[in-house]
Amino acid sequence: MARRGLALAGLALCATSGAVLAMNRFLGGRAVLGEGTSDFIAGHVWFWPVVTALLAMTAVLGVCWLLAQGRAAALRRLTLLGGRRKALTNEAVAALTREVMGMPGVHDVRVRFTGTRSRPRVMLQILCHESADLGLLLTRIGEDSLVRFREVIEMPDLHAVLRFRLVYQETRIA
Amino acid sequence: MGETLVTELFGDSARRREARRRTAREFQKERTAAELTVAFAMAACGGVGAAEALARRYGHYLVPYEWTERLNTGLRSLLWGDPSVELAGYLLWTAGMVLLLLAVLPGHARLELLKGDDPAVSAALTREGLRRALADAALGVPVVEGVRVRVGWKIKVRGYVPRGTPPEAREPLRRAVHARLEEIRPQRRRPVVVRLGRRG
Repeated sequence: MARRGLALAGLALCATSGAVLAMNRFLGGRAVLGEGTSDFIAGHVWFWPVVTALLAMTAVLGVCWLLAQGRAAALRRLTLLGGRRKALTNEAVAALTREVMGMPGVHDVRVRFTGTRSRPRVMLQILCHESADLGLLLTRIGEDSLVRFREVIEMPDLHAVLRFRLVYQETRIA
Repeated sequence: MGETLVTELFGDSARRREARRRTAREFQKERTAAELTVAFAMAACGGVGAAEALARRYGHYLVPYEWTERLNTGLRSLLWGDPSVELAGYLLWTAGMVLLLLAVLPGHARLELLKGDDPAVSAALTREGLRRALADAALGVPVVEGVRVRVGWKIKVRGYVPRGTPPEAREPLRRAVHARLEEIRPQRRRPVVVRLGRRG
């Protein structure tokens, strides 16, 4: 959504620049705010209300966009759960951490639960050995551990994000 | 039965496509600074403009009168053909193109997105991690003593073997690298170039 907003803003700026450059080329001798413009504004009572409405709409869109960004950032970084469910999730996160740590080739893991009950997200940062079978790890985590995790915390729509990194063993690489 | 199989096949490929799309979106680089700037500029310019227009309607001023008057006089004396108008046009065009490029370019923060069948799971490996995993696979081949791996548009693997090793030793090295790539399953398919270097 955000990228679409940027694209629309970019298109709007390009269209405005096209209009300005066309005026620069074809109406070079006229003033930017000439008599014709003033007469047009004076002759049409709807001009200022329409301009005001357009400006207000732009301001509302800008504020909505800022709020949406704030919300998305909060959902990605904070756990917005309360009371019993938060405790349940913390326990499940600890169990998931232990389970993934016990898998072959895993050196370290950090699990973070963020979002709300309706938009939950779990982030796993997994540090593996160079020889670890990442395909197998991904399958085991995705098809076993995360399925159980979703059941325990009662959130079937949970989205999981896995970031793999490998342990650095300098002496082995030429 | 044939019909069921076809349905399953299409269902699976749709899930894989959805998983691929969601993973790409998940690891897409955020354009926070650009978005904040544009959103703030829209809110500020739109808000001040609308408030000033309303204030004028009821005989008040929000922006100091001298400022608007100076702007008014300036615009009345400025011609469309003035070089500053042309410069402003090109600046607007540049800003628009920058925003469009920021919106269109993927910018995947040096990560290799991994293939998956479940849209609810997105996974990625650092590009450095992929390089190290391939180096580890190459070093698993008995005759290889050292290795250099580069991951760019192509994956280039140079295995260092003792002098006198026959060129056929390239084949097990190639198989080891391909087998590791099959395990990792990166989304992006690159040509793999395997070469041997002699040592000693």
